[in-house]
Amino acid sequence: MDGIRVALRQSSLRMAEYIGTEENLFDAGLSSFDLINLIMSLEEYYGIEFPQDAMRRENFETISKIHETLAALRGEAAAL
Amino acid sequence: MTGPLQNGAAHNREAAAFRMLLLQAKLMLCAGADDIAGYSAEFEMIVAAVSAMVGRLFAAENPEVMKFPALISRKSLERSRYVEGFPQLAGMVQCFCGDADAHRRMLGCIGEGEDWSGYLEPTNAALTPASCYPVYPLVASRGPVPAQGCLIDVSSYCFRHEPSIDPIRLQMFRQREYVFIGRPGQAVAFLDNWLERTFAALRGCGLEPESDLANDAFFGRFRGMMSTAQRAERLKTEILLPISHPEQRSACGSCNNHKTHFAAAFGIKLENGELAQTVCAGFGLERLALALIRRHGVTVREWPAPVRSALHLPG
Repeated sequence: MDGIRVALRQSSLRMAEYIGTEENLFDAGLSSFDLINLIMSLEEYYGIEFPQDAMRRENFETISKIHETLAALRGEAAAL
Repeated sequence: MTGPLQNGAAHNREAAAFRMLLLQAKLMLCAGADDIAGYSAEFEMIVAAVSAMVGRLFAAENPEVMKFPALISRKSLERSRYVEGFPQLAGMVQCFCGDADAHRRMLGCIGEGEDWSGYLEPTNAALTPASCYPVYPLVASRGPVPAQGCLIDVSSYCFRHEPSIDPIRLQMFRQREYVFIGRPGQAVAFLDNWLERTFAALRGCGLEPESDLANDAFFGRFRGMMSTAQRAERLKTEILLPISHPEQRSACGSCNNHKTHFAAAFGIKLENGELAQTVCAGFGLERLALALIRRHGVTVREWPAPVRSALHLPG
């Protein structure tokens, strides 16, 4: 989850270190424009590219959901 | 403020026909390229009339009137986060800053018909994407927003890089907008009030406006996600009228709830220290003028007398 917190920090969300894994990031102040930065930071950190069908706001609502989205994506990549 | 995408062949045919009508009526002037237009005195009279009409909507509330050029600082554009959402529409000013030798080489490049843009360097000036953009850093610099909020009537030329021959999709155009900055309830109430007054004013001009939820033209692969969120939160409503196409409506204005987007970007706070909310609502003046031409014809003196009266146009 460290990479997710790094990406959150880069996306300008303050207090990224202290946000609970189930806490809603948008309620904590993550804006739509922050989400663009978050997605690009995650892609850079993990060396991936989110497919269009994964680019849904609900997939990035909590750290836990981001983790699941990443796991699903990397699982698919490993299976190829 | 951006209109819905209308790339259909039928729309393009109608847009080309409408453009030809405007050129033949000498309302629009071809300025050396199909996607750069100038305007006649008659057209400018209409633009001045619709701008004044927009100005009357909230004149009784005594808004602070501001006019800006088509330029904002590059720093302001960056802080507004426009480039994150709309890089394809943004523009900035580049200038030649070289010495005599570089000048000679650049001229040689132009003489050979080659690309000479490599001789230009970025300046600190960017092109204004919407007339409200210069307002936010200015208001932030004044300190906390007073309890009653603040209302600003702002106008400027704006730039968006979307070349087209459609007369409503200009690269440089004029906007006149109201910006309200205050508490959330005040901001939403202002938008409701603006919609009500706008519909009444447009009906007084013989138009039949409709409104609909809309989204901005976000860039590339983020477009779907951003647009869905914008619509789900009902942040943007467009005023729709037939303009380029006689039977399809296009946006001539919009009202937008930014929530705390600009307040967070520029540090606009209320007296209690919380972030303020900002909204803007306004018109593309050329689009509104074109909607009137579409409805009433290319000759202003032949428009219905009540319409000319509502717009304070000569009888």
